[in-house]
Amino acid sequence: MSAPVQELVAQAAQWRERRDGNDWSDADQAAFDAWLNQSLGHRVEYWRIDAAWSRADRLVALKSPGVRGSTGTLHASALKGIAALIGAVAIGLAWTGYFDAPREKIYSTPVGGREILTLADGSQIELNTDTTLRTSVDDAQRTVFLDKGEAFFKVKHDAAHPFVVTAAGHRVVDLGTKFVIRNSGDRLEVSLIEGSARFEPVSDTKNMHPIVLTPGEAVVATPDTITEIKKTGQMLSDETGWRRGIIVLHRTTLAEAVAEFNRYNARKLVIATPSLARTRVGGTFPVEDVEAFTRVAKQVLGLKVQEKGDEILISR
Amino acid sequence: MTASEVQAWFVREVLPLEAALMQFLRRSRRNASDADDLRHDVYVRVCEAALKEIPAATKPFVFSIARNLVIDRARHDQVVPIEAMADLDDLSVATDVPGPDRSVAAREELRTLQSALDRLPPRCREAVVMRKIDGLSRKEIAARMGIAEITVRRHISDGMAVLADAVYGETPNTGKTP
Repeated sequence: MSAPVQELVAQAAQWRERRDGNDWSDADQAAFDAWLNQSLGHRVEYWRIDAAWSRADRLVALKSPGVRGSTGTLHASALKGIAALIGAVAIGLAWTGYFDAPREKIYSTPVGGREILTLADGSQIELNTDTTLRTSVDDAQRTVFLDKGEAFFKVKHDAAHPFVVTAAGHRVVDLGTKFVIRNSGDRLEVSLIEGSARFEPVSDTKNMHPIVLTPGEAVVATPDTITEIKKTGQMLSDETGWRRGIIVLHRTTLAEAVAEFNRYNARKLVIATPSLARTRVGGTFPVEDVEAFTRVAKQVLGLKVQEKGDEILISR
Repeated sequence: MTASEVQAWFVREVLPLEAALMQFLRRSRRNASDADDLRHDVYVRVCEAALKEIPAATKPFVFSIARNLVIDRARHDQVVPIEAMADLDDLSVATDVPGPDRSVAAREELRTLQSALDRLPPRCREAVVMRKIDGLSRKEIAARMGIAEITVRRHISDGMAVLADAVYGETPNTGKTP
């Protein structure tokens, strides 16, 4: 009697594992949807596996620098990690690396999450949705690695202890500043809000010289290009709307708007009619209020909105 | 209710009851594999109902469905384990998750996960650690472990199934063997 259930659990786990890869294709998605839709039994087992696997994300708190790949050592240091963690877990955040010098701490937010960190020197880092960063402070320098996502930095300037953010290989050196960095993997954007900072491109890019950014200036770096752009105060304020929990759309294409909502929500919006992608929309929405957005799509733009599984399809 | 609303409710309110549910089902049935089977049936029925309307009180709802299924199954088998029947009216299983202090909860969570991790077979654990803690890709894990990517995938999906049982299904204990 038990074989079918164990088989279902195994299938659910195999799907979950496949979704983690970067080779997930449209065909995979279709096959997965078909499997999910076959029975509610498939769905519940998938939900259970998916929830457990997401909970396991917290294991990253056991990460200890310098023991990558060697599980024997990792195990021992993982236990130290737990010891270090006792009494030192911030809400929604965990740090580790207690026994290693320099002390590296890892912070991360889930999809839809937002956290503000205050470092020992009084500098503040505000993490947007789905963001991972590491901090490491030693006698010479304050270093932050923005591994993914987006963060707002308000840095207590101290020339003797430079504050350096490394993201996608590039470095941003604080010169007394507020700035925002968004690391979307293949695209890094640094926008300066107050003060100034120096952008130092990763050395293997063609544009090698550092760029000093002043308020309203931004740099967009992709694997092979670096572009300087200007932003108005309004644009900067709209782009950092997430700090106030809002998404501001201003003549934004539907494709961009959908991508923006999808950063914050597990239920994903999908444009089912490709020609709609360039339709422009405007408005201010709470980041998690997908319904408010779909209401506008329905009532103002006259589009069809249809829930299908974990997706919300927008079509003409 | 949409599927994603039911999913959110299921993850938030039903899954945390799993340890108590499994305890109840194991006591009611003669073998553990029956309990897994029943757990699945309970979840399907609970979610079927939730798709129409999310029940107001989750715990009594889940356990009344479990109880009915156990009775059905017992009738079908025409064998009723004595303890099971005694248990049916006594659902005072401890299920209330304490949560006054979020840092304590986070610490507990990490302990649960750590002990779940310890339960994985060594190679499987190695792969899960590299994926979850070191954030390595399948390819990198395969290279480090000297195995094929397909084997990495199998280790990881096997690991997921064990982790799910460990984080939801096992009755929390203080690390001592019962």
